[in-house]
Parts: sequence; structure tokens; C-alpha cells
Amino acid sequence: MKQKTEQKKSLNQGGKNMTEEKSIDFFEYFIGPQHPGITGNFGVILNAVGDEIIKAQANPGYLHRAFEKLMEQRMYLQNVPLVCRICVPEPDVNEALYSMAIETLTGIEVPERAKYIRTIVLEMARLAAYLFYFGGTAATLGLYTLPNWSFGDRDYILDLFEELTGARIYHIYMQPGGVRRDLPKDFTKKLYSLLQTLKKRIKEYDGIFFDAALFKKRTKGVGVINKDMAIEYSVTGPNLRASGIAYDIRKDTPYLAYPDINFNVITENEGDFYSRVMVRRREFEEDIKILEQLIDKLPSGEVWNRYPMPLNWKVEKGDVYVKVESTKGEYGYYVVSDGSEKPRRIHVRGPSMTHGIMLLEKLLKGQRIADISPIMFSLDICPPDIDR
Amino acid sequence: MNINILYAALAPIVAILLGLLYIGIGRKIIARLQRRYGPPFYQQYIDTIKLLAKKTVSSHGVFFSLGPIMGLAGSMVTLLFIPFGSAAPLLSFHGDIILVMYLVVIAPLGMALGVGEGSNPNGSIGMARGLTLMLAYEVPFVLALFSVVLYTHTTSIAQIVQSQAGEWSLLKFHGFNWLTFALPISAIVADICLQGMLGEKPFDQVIAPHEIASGPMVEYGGKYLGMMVINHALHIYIETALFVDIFLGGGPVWFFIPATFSVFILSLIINGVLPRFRIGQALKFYWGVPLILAVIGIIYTMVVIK
Amino acid sequence: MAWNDILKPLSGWKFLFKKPHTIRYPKEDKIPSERYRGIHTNMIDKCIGCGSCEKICMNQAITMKEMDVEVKEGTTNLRPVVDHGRCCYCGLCVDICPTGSLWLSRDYRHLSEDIDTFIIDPNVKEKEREGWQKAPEFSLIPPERGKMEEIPPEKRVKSFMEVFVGYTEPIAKEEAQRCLGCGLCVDACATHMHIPDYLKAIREGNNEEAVRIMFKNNPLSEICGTVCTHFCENVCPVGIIGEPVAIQWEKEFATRTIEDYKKIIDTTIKEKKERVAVVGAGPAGLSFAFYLRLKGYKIDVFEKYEKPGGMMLLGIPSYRLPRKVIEKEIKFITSTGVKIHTGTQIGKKKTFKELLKKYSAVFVATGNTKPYTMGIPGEEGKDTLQAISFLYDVNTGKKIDLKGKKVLVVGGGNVAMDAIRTSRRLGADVYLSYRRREVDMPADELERKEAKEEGIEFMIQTLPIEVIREKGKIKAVKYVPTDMDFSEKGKRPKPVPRMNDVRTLEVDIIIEAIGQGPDLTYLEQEFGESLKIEKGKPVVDKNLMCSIKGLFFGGDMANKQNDIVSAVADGRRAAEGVHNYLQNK
Ligand SMILES: Cc1cc2nc3c(=O)[nH]c(=O)nc-3n(C[C@H](O)[C@H](O)[C@H](O)COP(=O)(O)OP(=O)(O)OC[C@H]3O[C@@H](n4cnc5c(N)ncnc54)[C@H](O)[C@@H]3O)c2cc1C
Ligand code: SF4
Ligand code: SF4
Repeated sequence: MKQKTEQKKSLNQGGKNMTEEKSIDFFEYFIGPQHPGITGNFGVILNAVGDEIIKAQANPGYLHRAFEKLMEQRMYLQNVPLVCRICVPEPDVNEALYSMAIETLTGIEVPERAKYIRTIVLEMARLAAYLFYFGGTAATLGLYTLPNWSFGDRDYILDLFEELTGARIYHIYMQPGGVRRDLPKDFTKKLYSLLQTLKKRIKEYDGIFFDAALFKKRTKGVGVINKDMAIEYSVTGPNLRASGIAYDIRKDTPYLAYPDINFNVITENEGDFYSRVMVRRREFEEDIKILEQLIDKLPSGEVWNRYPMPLNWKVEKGDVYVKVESTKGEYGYYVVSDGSEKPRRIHVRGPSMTHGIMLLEKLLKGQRIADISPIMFSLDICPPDIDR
Repeated sequence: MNINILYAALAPIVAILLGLLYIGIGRKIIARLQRRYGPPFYQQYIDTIKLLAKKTVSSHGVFFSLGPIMGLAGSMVTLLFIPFGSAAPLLSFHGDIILVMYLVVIAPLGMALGVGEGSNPNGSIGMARGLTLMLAYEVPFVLALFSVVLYTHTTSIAQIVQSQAGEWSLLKFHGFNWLTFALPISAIVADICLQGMLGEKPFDQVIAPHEIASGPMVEYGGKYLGMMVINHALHIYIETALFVDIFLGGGPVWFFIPATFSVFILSLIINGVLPRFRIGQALKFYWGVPLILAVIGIIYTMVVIK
Repeated sequence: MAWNDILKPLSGWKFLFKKPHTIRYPKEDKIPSERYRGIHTNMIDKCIGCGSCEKICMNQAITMKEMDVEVKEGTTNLRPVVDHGRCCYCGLCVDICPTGSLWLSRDYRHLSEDIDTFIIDPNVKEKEREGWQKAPEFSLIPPERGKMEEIPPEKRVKSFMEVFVGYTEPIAKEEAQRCLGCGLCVDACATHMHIPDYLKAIREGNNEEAVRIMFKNNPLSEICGTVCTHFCENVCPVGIIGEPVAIQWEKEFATRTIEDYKKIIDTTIKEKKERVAVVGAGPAGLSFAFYLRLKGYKIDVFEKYEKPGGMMLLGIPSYRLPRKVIEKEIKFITSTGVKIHTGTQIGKKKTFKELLKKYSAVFVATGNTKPYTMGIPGEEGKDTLQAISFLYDVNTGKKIDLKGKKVLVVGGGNVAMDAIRTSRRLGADVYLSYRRREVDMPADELERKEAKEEGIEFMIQTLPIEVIREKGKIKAVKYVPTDMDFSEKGKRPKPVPRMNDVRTLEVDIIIEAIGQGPDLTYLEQEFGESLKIEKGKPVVDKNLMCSIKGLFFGGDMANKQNDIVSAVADGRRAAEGVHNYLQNK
């Protein structure tokens, strides 16, 4: 049954694999860019012998929309609706980062309330992204009930987003100097009751998924990233914490309202698939706690300090790197301004670049075909952010 | 003879209609579990008709096209040996239970032939997994049947049904004749194997969308895909019917249809809440607990007979 | 592996009989939130066609299309059309729209096989299904203009020093940033100065370029920067959400950074033989002379008074327009070779007919010199003054002492403002009587504010009906309050006096500032019937030539606006007209 491919010229012909390639069980297997088991339009080219992967090569580029170049052609404000599109499941970090970078360059202060609102949005986005992640990971393992539940529950968060920002996915809500509108009536009340529902729901998820024997059987010991490897491959975010390193930008270099918030940095020790999922599972509850604190402490006041008229807005010369913690890892923006109406250069440091290419290629080696897509999902890769 | 032809013609139609209906209702039930409304129960009919009405865009050769046809033919032949509850099948003789075991394999083999020609690794991996899985569940299943044969002293399915027959009426329940009660361990083993036969989770490695993009079906489209859907429906009917015939005493139509459906739903209930095994794990699983249970079942049967 | 973990997943089945939470479209529908950003809608009558939405859109989803709409003052017939295939529904266009006519509705469905249908004309008459709307406090246009420093009122009433200090460079640059670049102001400006262009130059720090752009249309840019009636600011859409861009002060700032215009403006001239005469060295005459001189004609300007400047010099008080500003601009104009003959009144020794014979063309801009009067009992007398003669006296240096006197000024225009504030500076207690509401006053809002700061009492909606005199001297004024009659649509409301409610106010002096008209007696005497006159003003064609060949009119005496820019515009237009006339003769 196994594909008896003659030795073809492989994409990356090296001497090492020659013996394996000659094996009659050798075949080349493309997963993606159109494949249910891939996160977005992204691909991995696999060399397999039988059921085992001997070489994996990431194949990105299908989502390349030249964001960084486009941003150089647009006025500063015009980039606000653009940046969120860099990462679909969690767009808000982009908005926050872009705004923070411009604020640092221009010296526009952000009002306290706006900081809190931004943090609320970021945390809500985290919850939404995690629900997406849980569903996605469960689906790669074949459990389609969880995605149906979690995407459904995520929609309640999106409903709140819609009320707050006018859009469900690409909120385009934060802007330099603050946010675009104040909270609508009863927003915090609605958010609070949603958080209570989510707390209950996550217990139900436990029953069907996180505690399930089969889930543990499929995931424990799969795709292990140990501490050294994590550091070597500059792994960040929950993936890093799953390997036992307690590093969280929200704690270590706090931004926005995080200095005022009490929360724990969640870690797991194994660094395997299971730990990566469980770190996020536990962070989900931690994020709910953070949101509750934010609601309690929300100050009143202005939510926006204005910038000059956007059509003629020139940003002071300089460069700046800002970073935040996203559900995928460290997200950073490096913005260079030459003092004109348009940015000179914007570099986006997305976590998916490191996780989705170098790390993934390394992790997939030696795995079974059945585990490719689960491992990929467990790293929470966001291909649009690889391609940018 | 006329009656026979009529039977041969009608049986597949009834089986297909029932199979598709089960899938349709199954979709609704799973939808409820997932907090959705789901498509209407007749959606599967619509989909199948749509697929059959479509042009087939590409083919990879004769065997590629023959594959689904062979699969379908295999299933239809099998059908002739399966009693419709207490109604006797068209073909029945001693040892037909063994024949059925072979016939059931024809469909996947036919598919394998076609898929192999499609030379899509997804399909090939899917077929390889299918055959491995078959290897996995067939062993405990055959052992479970073995205890049945031991118990009933016959190798004809019709006679196995007969052996459990009682006076069937709406008021009187004669379920105590069922082999389920006589051979509970073997029945459990058979049901576990049924999960694999139906390809329901945790044993849906063959199609596993996230891993191999629906496996064997990946290269097929239009009419071929339609035929594969029909084949799947037939399979559901054949396998649940086989289980009902052997372990739940067949029974009259008003019992037989709900019974097959219930067996299907039972597998759905498990399907709905579990992820899937890796194929190696599936093999290990079947050759673990179910196999041991099957052996215990045989021992139990021998003890009971004495 | 606990048994519990194996069986626990079955707990999920508890949802089997619970109500699903999905929405069955189209049977059920979810109503989008109040802020939803869906398909555009635009109130066609509220939109002014400024095109800001088009500019901010980073997807080029909006195109301004000409539409069949009524073009009012400060609007265009352009309206946005949105390509929803390109739109990303960010709503920036809504947030920048100065009028708030544009909003995103709560509709988001559009299905069609024809891609052309995705270009949607959002224009509607009524508001409907509002989603994301403009919120004034979140408007992308900063509503406040750059702060202008001014001398405090207590200090400024004591002298004739200039009230405004002027912009500093950083404030000027910041203020110039507020410009949307819509160009509506260009249409509103009588002489169509390229405002967005020079504002751009200013914010780029290139004041010389800015001044060059200004002088293309206005050789009295600095004067206009100081005292213009700035109709441009009135139509500036930024004014809808806050204070309009301070166009006038920007102009003042840029021109004052230049010490000598000659150095930066190219005035090389190719001489022509023809000679052209100008009567009156007011703004109209001066700018006419400047532009025609640049075309190479030889210009002689005849001025009655001993200094050129017209009403700018003789009417406008020096606390508003410092004299050195007038001198600077006139010096530049004369430096191009324009000859000004002061102290030469035309009509007496020299006649217009003579000029017409001697010169190829004559441009007459003698301004408005004949004041209107109220015509109420007891009005005539030495202590009833006319605002323009009063200001003339003050400006020509006549000593007038109003200390401790009570002065009533009648009128609501800029001349009235000048009269009250000048009287105040001369030490009087000043009252202003105006017959309509304060909002109807033609006088500038800023001037009203300043006048009030300086301690002038506004008697709004009052009408003097009689002057009571004692021994020939004014003792008091009888006046009545008025009511407003709005029955005539589209016009200013009519004041209706409440005749049964007569009040009196004790005053010493009355100054009338209710308007003035041109004095055409000389011209009538000379030309008689051959000069066509309508409503007290000579009839002119689009080149500003009257019924007599070679005779052109402009400025206050020919136009309705009666301000400096219109005079400048007339001068510029007449220069074109004369040039055309002489070329085609
Ligand atoms: C008190 C006052 C305040 C004003 N404030 C403003 C303001 O803030 N902003 C603004 O834009 N406008 C203002 N105006 C209006 C503005 O001054 C006039 O609209 C403008 O000066 C008209 O220009 P002109 O060239 O048509 O006439 P004028 O400026 O009136 O010039 C006419 C010139 O012709 C001379 N002249 C008259 N007859 C003869 C003759 N027979 N022979 C030779 N020369 C003659 C006169 O001496 C005079 O110098 C104000 C006017 C007044 C009276
Ligand atoms: S910005 Fe507003 S007023 Fe201006 S053209 Fe657009 S819709 Fe009309
Ligand atoms: S919503 Fe955004 S993308 Fe759409 S037309 Fe307005 S500015 Fe352009």
C-alpha cells in the first residue's frame, strides 16, 4: 500500500538521507497548503518512510500579503486597520503593539482607563484564542464535539467584542493614544456574567477532553521540547512555559494595566503535547481571574488622548521595539520612523516564525503521520504571522 | 424466481435507504451533542443524489473507476446473506457466516485497488490504515463469532437467528432468548469490534480528516464519491444488521429496524465524545482487552454448553 | 488510567436534550450590535462632499462621484461611492467625516454574482439602521485650533496696540496639520487662494514657498492675514466639529516671517507700452496695479488722500491692522514699478474722461464713502457721528476725547465693532444697539467676544426710535425691543419692533454704523446716461468693464461683499479683464 516512489529529486537533496530515500517505503508527502489538518494556508513537505517522518520542511508563503511593505506605503493611522490582519485568531495584540510603538515614538500618553480597556480587550482576545486553540487541538485528535462547543462559546466573547468595538474578529479598536470608543452600557456586567459561564464550561471541557483517558494517551510524551531546546529555539509564550520555564512578558516587563494585576505564571514540566495543552487550559482560568480583577479596578475617565489630524500626521524620528505576551508567544513590533507621514520600516516579530518553521521542522522528525497535525496545532502556529 | 429477483433488487434499495436515514438521524443527534441543530434528517439523501448527479471530473484509470463499483458490488452481494430480522435471506447455507466474513472484505479491497491507482498518499495511507484496522478488529470478532457458533451449533446466520426465535408480539418480550444474554462477554466483544467496523471514533483512522484529509475519498468526486457514500450506508446497515441478527435475535420488522438503529446510535454515542487512536494504538487496543475477553468468552461458552 | 477518565467523556451527552445555541438562519436572525460596522450609508444632504473619507481610506474603497445635488455655499456636488469589495469596514471614514453624514449601518449582507453591484451608492435621504456612527469626542479631527495669545482686555483698551500676538512656529505647524485638504475654502475665498497648498508648505516649515503661493492670488496677503473676513474659515468643514482651521492666522504667521517679499517673489517684468490708470489706492486698486504691472503694463495710480491704502488705512483701526503692515505690502507693490500719485482726486482737477483719453484703460475703485443714516426724529446734529467719518478722523490723527462720555453705537457689522472698540479705547462707556439676534450679526464672532471682554454692553434686539435732545445736545435715546419673524424661509429673520414697550437710555453721543454706499456723483456728472447704474452700483460685465469701453470698476463700489479680499479679487479679475481687453483691441 505504501507509496513506492522512486527516488525523486527531493526538495532539499542532501547526502544524508540517501539510504532512506532508496527504501521502498519512502515517499514524499505534502500536508497543506490545502488540508484540513493545517492551521491556515501553510504547508509542510514531509519525507516519510512508512508511517515515520524522516524529514519535515515547512512550506510557508501562501499568505504572504507584504504587510510590512504595505505599512511603509500608508499613513500612520491607515495602518491601524491593517495590522490586526496579521494574526487572525488573536488580532488585538497587533493593534496594541502598533499603538504602543507609536505612543512611545510620539510621547502620546494613554489615559488610565484606556489602558484598562485595552487590557480587557487583550485578555478577552486571549480567552477567545484559547477557545479556538482547544477546539483546534481537539479536532486534530478527532474529537469534533469540543470545537463545536468551544467555537460556540467563543462566539459569546465575539458578541461582546461586537458590542464594544463594532466588529467580531478584526476589531480595529485600539488606536494610538487610547481606544476608539468608551465601553458601552452594562458591558462589564455582561462580561462578568460571561466569565462565570466560561468557568463552568471549562469544567465541562475537562470531562470530555482534558481529563479524558484517550486524550492523555494520544498526547503524553509526544513532541517533547525540553528546557535546553526551548531556549535554543527561542521558544516563547505558553510553549515555553510548558517546558518548565516561568517566563511571561506580562509579569517580567509588564505593560498596560498588568502591573496592577495579581496573577500566577502557569508552568508545566514535561514540555510535551499534553503539557502544552494543559498550560493553556490552566491559563484560561488564570485569564478569567485577571479579567475579574480588571473589571473591579477599572478606573473612570477619558479613554483617548488625541493625535494630530491623521491625514497630516508626522511621527517623530526614532525607532522603538515593543513587545507583549500573546497566546502564541512573544509578539513584538519594531517601528522606525523617519519623521514623515509614513513609517520608514515596521518589522513584526511574530512567535509563529520560530515556532512554525525551525521548531516545527525539528519536532516533526521521527513522528508518526497521525501526529503531524496535532503537533502543529499544539504549538499554536498562526501562518499569516509567519508570512506577514 | 421472480420473487428472488425482486428480493435481490429490493434488498439493496431498502438497505441503502435505511443506511442513509441512519446517517441522517445520526448527524442530527451528534449535532445536538455539539449544541447545534444540525441539518434535516433527510440531508443525506439530498447529498447523495447531488453527488450522483454530478459530473466526474477526473479519473486515474480503469481500476480507479472500478474501485468504488467493486466495493459497492461486494457490499450488495454480502447483503444477500444477511437476514432481514426473522425474514430469511435470499441466500443461506451452512457456513455462510464464514463467507460473509470474507465478503465484507471485498469492499475495502476493491477500494484499495482504486485508491492505489489514484496514487495520492493520503488515500494510500488511509487504505493501509483500513487494512491494518481490519486486521485488528477481525481477530477478536471472529473469536466472538466462534463462541456463537459453538453455542448454537450452526454456521448459518439464518439458523442462528432461528435459534433465538420466540413468539414475537408487541406485548410479549422474548428477548431472553437473545444470545446477548447467553453470551454477554462475546456480545460485548462483538460490539467493540463493531465500532471499528463502522469506522466510528475512536477507530476512524481511515478517513481522519486532520491527518490524511479524508483518506481514500480524497481523490474521488462526483458519482464515485456518491457511490462511496452509498457503500458506507450499506455497510452501516450490513454491520448493524449482522449484530442484531446474531446477538439480538433478528426479530420482526418493527423490532429489527429500531434495533439496528439503536446499535448504530450506541456506536455514535461513543463516537461523539472520543478522539481517535493512533493506528498503532488501535491495533494494540484490539489485540489487548477485547482479544482476552473473546478468549474468556469462548471458555465461558464451553462451560455453559457443558 | 482511572475508569473515571474513560467514562467521563460521556458526560457530554447531557446536551442531547438541551436547546442548541446556534442560530438558524434564515428562520432566525441575529441583530448586530449598536456599534456594528456594516455597509455604508450617507445622508446625501448633510454630506458636503469634502472627500475626507476618500482620503483616509487605505483601501481606496471610496471614490467621490459627481451627483445631482444642490450645491450650497461650502459644498461640492461630489458624494462618496463605496466599493464593498475593497472596504475593510474599519470605519475610519466615519470617524473622520466632519459632518457626521456618513455612518456604517447594521446591514452586512450582500450577495450577487455581478461584481459591479458591490460598488454601492450609500447615499440616502433619511437615517436608517445606524451602526458605527460618528462620536464627536472621538472625531479624528482635533476640534480646537492652536492657541493664539492676545493682550489681556484691561491692558488693550488703554492703547491702540495690536491685540493678537501672532502664532509661533510650532503652533502654526500644528495648526496647519488640522487641514483636511478638501479645498472647499478655495471656492469660498473671493480670490481663490490655494489654502491647502500653503498650509502644507507651512507645516513642512517652508514659509517662503507658502508666501509665494499666497502672492499668486493676493498681493495683500499679510493684510488679509491680519483682518480678512475669512469666508474660507466659515466653510471649513473642521468648523462643523469644532473651530475651523485658523487659515487667516496661518497666513499672518507665514507672511510675517518674511521680511522683504522682493527677495523671495520673482517680479521680473517684460515691459509693454500700454499705460493704464487706476483711481483709488485701496486694496482693489493696489492689487489691480500689482497684477497688471506683472504683465508689463505701465501703471499710474491716483489717490485722493496723501497716503495709499484706502479704507484699510482710513477705516480699520490700528489695533487691528498695524500701519507698518500696510506700508510693507505697499512698498513691495510699488517696488515693481507701480507709480502712486497721492493727493490727486479724480473728478475735480483731472476728470475721468481725461484719463480715458490718456490711458489705454482706466480702473476705478474708489470704495464706499457715503454712509447710510437711520432717519429717526432728532437724529441730525453735531453729536451724531457716522462710523466711517469717526474712524477717518481717528485714523488721520485728529484728537478726539471721549473720556467719561456715554456712546451708543447702532449697527452690527464689523464697522460697528470698530466704532465701539475705538470709542472704548478713547475712554468712553459704550453701548451697542442691534436690531436682530446676536447670531445674526454680520460681525465676526471673535470680535464680538473681544468687544464684550473690553466691557462693551450689547443691547441685542433693540431698535432706537427717537433721539431726545436738550438744548441741541443729545440727552437720551428712546428705543424698543424687537421680536424675530422667521416667516421668510432661507432669509435672515425680520425684526419686528414691540412699539408699546418704549425704554430710554441716557447717552451723550450716537455713532451710526449701519452701512455705506459708493458716491457716484462725479461719474454721473461726467458720463450721464451712458454709464449704466443699478442699485447704486455701476453695472459691469465679467471682466468688470462697464458700459463705457476701457472703463473698469471694482472693489466696494462694484461688489456686494464689501471687504478686502473681494476688492483684491476684483483687482485681480480686472487685471485679467484689462489684459484681455487690451490684447483683443
Ligand atoms: C471701519 C471699517 C472696517 C473694515 N474692516 C474690514 C475688515 O476687517 N476686513 C475686511 O476685509 N474689510 C474691512 N473693511 C472693508 C474694507 O476696508 C473695504 O472693503 C476695502 O477697503 C474696499 O476696498 P476698495 O479698494 O474697493 O475701496 P477703498 O478701500 O475704500 O479705497 C478707495 C480709495 O479710493 C480713494 N478715492 C476715493 N475717491 C477718489 C477719487 N475721486 N479720486 C482718487 N481717489 C479716490 C479713497 O481715498 C480710497 O483710498 C472695513 C471697512 C471699514 C470702513
Ligand atoms: S467625509 Fe463626510 S462630508 Fe466629507 S465627503 Fe465624506 S461623507 Fe461627505
Ligand atoms: S470603512 Fe474603512 S475601508 Fe471601508 S471605506 Fe471606510 S475607510 Fe475605507
